[in-house]
Amino acid sequence: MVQAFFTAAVLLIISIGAMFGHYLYKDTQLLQDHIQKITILTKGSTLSFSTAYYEPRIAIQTSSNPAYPQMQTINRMDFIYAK
Amino acid sequence: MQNSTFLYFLTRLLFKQKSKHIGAVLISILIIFLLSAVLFISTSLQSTLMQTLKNQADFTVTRLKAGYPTQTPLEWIDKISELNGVSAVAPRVYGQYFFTPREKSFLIIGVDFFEEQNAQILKEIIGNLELKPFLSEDSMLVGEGVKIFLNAHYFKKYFTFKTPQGKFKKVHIHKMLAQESNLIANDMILMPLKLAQEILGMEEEEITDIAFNVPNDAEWDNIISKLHLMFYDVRVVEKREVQKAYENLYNYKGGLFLVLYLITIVTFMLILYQRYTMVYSTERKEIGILRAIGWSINDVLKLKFYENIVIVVVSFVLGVVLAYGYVFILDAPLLSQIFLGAANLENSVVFIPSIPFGLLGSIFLFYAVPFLAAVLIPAWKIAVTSPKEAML
Amino acid sequence: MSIIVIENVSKVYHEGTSHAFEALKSINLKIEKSQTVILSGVSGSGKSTLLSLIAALDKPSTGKIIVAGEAISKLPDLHASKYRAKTIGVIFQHFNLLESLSVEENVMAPLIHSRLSMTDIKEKVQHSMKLASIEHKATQEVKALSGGEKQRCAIARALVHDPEIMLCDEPTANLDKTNTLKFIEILRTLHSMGKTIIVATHDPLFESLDFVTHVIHMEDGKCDE
Repeated sequence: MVQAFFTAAVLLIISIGAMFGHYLYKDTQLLQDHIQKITILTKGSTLSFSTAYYEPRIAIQTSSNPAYPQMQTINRMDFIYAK
Repeated sequence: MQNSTFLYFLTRLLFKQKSKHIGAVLISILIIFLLSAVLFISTSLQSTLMQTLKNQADFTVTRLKAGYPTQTPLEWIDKISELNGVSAVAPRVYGQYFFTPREKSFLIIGVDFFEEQNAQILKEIIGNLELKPFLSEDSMLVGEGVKIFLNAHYFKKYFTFKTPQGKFKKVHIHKMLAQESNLIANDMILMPLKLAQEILGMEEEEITDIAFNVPNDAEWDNIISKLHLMFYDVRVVEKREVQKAYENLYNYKGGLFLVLYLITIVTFMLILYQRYTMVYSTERKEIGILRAIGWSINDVLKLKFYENIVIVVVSFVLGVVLAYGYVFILDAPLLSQIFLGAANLENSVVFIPSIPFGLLGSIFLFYAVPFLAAVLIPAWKIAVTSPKEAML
Repeated sequence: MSIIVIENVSKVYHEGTSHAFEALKSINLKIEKSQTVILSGVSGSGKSTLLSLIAALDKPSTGKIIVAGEAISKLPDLHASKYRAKTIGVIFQHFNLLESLSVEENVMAPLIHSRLSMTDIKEKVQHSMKLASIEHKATQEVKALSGGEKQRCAIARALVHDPEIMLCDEPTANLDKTNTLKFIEILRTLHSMGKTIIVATHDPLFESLDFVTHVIHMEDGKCDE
């Protein structure tokens, strides 16, 4: 049983090693470069959140909570992202 | 010698009684996995954002009308350039274009492609871009989210914008931006400055806002005061404020999860404590037997401690490793939507690996200490009773 | 020289409450080395209580117990554990084995904190299992054993650390006639090894055994030799 325990321990250590290996050696430069270049080009770096901005043209809200009709749905993050 | 015998006995006990521990291990792994995944996503986004913020202009200036942002006059650029200590003053043209039939928004950004630096960067971003054909007709570069959306709605080569003046503008979809830039460019459409102005309904001498740098940060407050004196209807946004806003954003989202986590962990500890006291009779008898054959209270507690520390460590490590793989190798399929949203265009972001060691250490402590307490307290209570009573 | 000296020992359960119960009343006893003593009496006469006091599994309310020259009645936990691990081997009525472990692992349990090497421990375990005739079931889990086999496993565990004194509390209560006779043969072997044996039982079969030194009758918490 001690052998099974050591095998499990070794597997665990290998998985930690693989995680750290990936963390240390993954080429993140390409990712960073792309993002930085877009930022320089556009002179801004707002994250591309998939949020539903407040649109006065939408008269009817498609989804709402029947218990609290006035409450905004969780995807409408205007109160954070409003200019 | 003694340690190897103890280890032998411990491992035998652990493996023979695995059904007793499997429930606790699985739930622990799930809790740690969720919490670590949320932490990894949050930290990765934060660190990427802070990196990109470094390239952002120190200030952006917008005109206000009755307290709301409106188009900024182009002439402000000259006035701002005249201020001492100000450099790299540049106009920005951007805005949301709302596609009514599907209620989706795109971010249109106008770029002066005739500027050398911009042209150079563009060529680096899009490998084999030929500027002449791109600029000869109305063309745009789109982010991956926009491309997928347009393809799905049969806009394969061209897309027609409806301008605020009621005119239609057919624009060629030239190329897609690299997936690596999805974090900021997923819903982005890059087009020439004049085209962007037309589509967003701006006049030639109107822009959205002005960006500039002030290299000496001791001058920042000074510059802000001067701007307010120069223009009565100006709003100045500093990079510092943007940084704080993003930090607060992640703290808010992180905070929500922390509350949920705390509730979950308290529930889990209660269940664990109840479970271990329910297993009372078997546990009680086992401890009584060990005491009767010559084990002291310390020996019994040492066994229980090491038994459970193995479970704690295995659960924690597995939870963290699985979370790492889920976030940084699989790119967090469902969880990322909580941070990036799913109401507009879907975004598949590649997360840059970032491990917050301090936070992981805190999670370990917040998990391991209550877990061990929930298990060791009942064990201690049994160990201190007389072995005869314990074996009944 | 007596190996076990019991002086004026009483045991009261739930002392100071309305349902206080005096299980032992002023017991005085001396047991010599290598003797085989039978404590006989009906259920509730105090036999098991006396054995548990000698094994330091419980503490007397009054009186003194001296075993192998050591006063054990008021030992702190650590010393009591060491005493049990070194001097005493106990065989319980309901065997009290660790059900999820194998025979070998159960027999090994008393030696885990003994500072012996793994090789020495395995040697002692083998020897003990052979003595109790259970070595052929070494790797089998205890929950799969019969009553007689469990008893033999309990004997092997009680013998593994070579104790001076063996305490048996109703050892044959859950055994059939065949296994009872097998158990008696093992007791005979232990007696021939010079061990001091105390058996608490209400089985009259034990009183007539040839190697039994003397029989102590217990009734209502008192004993008469």
